[in-house]
Amino acid sequence: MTDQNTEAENLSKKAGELARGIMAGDQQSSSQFVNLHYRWLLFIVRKKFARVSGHEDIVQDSFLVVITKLQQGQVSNPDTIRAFLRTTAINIGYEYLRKDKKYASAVDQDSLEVFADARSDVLSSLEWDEGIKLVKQVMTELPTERDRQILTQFYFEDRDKPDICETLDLSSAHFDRVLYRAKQRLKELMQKHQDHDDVGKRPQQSKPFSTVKTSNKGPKLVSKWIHALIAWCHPQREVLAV
Amino acid sequence: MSEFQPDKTMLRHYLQNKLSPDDETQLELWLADHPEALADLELDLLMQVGVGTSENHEFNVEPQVNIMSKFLNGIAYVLAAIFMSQLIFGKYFVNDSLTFIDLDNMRGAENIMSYQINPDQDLILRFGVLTDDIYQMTVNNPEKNKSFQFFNLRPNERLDIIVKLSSNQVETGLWEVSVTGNTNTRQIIYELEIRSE
Repeated sequence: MTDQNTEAENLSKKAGELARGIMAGDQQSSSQFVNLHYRWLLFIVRKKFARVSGHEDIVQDSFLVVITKLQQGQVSNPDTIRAFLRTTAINIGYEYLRKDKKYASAVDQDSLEVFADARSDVLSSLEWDEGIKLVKQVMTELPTERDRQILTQFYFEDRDKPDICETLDLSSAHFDRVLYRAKQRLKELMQKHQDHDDVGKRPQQSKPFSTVKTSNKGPKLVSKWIHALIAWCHPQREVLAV
Repeated sequence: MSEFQPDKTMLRHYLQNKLSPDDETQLELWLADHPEALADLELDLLMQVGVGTSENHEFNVEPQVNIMSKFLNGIAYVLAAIFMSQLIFGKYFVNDSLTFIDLDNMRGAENIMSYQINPDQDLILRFGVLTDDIYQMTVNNPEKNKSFQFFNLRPNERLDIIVKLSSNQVETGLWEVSVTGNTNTRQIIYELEIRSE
């Protein structure tokens, strides 16, 4: 078995163990569970509900629902907790769509004011939005028209590979290389813009583009928020630092 | 441990929302165990949304609704447009050959309702009644000493009575329209001011 498979298996086991820990009332398990899955769940929500705002509201409420159910012993199989978490997030997302209004979080806004960290996760939303703006900006600066065409046809028009190959007169093997290079050039331009924008700013200024790849700040802060939220919902439990 | 391993094509189809629900679920659960693949897809998703906006197809932040809702919304917009046009244009419709006046819009109004018409157009008067009675209508212009009477008016299935006045009968000025039922003889009177375009 490869190292990658071993790591994957460990992560899978860890999720089940953390779920059991939450069921046993361990607060640290809750925060670790959030840290481990926040980025993954946010990605799923952003992808499924790309055209709506409030992704992080959906994610946070999903964690709240799942952790509460674990604490109340309402989850029969902790080893499938991620499937349950994913389904919960999708259902909450669709509930938002059906209601045709801004998502109504399970916790009222006045209560959220109590927690200083509650708003910290907004930063990652801003970073995401800035990243989108950056892509939009550098798309116009790509050196070749074919880069723009292949990126647009693949990412926006959702066209099939054979269709794009025919339009741009590419072979199947050539398609992967052209798409890869176009993405690389887009990434380089984004990085260049980011570096340029950072001149004169504080060194610790966040980088939307690089954050997507490396930042782990959002999950930690949100985990704190979830922790505080759980403590608020269950005041009899001791709140542990994340 | 699952032996599932998505290939490039599957990942591409995932980004383009072309996977079956089962495959999508399997892939997304697999991503939870593969942070590197997740990071790559995050970047792809960012590009996907960014490229979409760069094509001047701004993403709508309003939640999506199903087709029936869209259809009903469409009808609502049309009805709203009709309502607004009635408010703006004096509660009548105009096409190339006739003017439609809905007398029901006048009920409860304190002032005389004023309509601007084209002298070449016929005039259609509609009013609603409460019972399936036989009615008669008198359209009278005392200033110009003109009067038209319509008898044996029977309401349609929607309890509407529709009367047509030809363009050569209609003149500008103040008109009084009275409606009386054969059984219920209470007279309903409408006052219309007809102006020329």
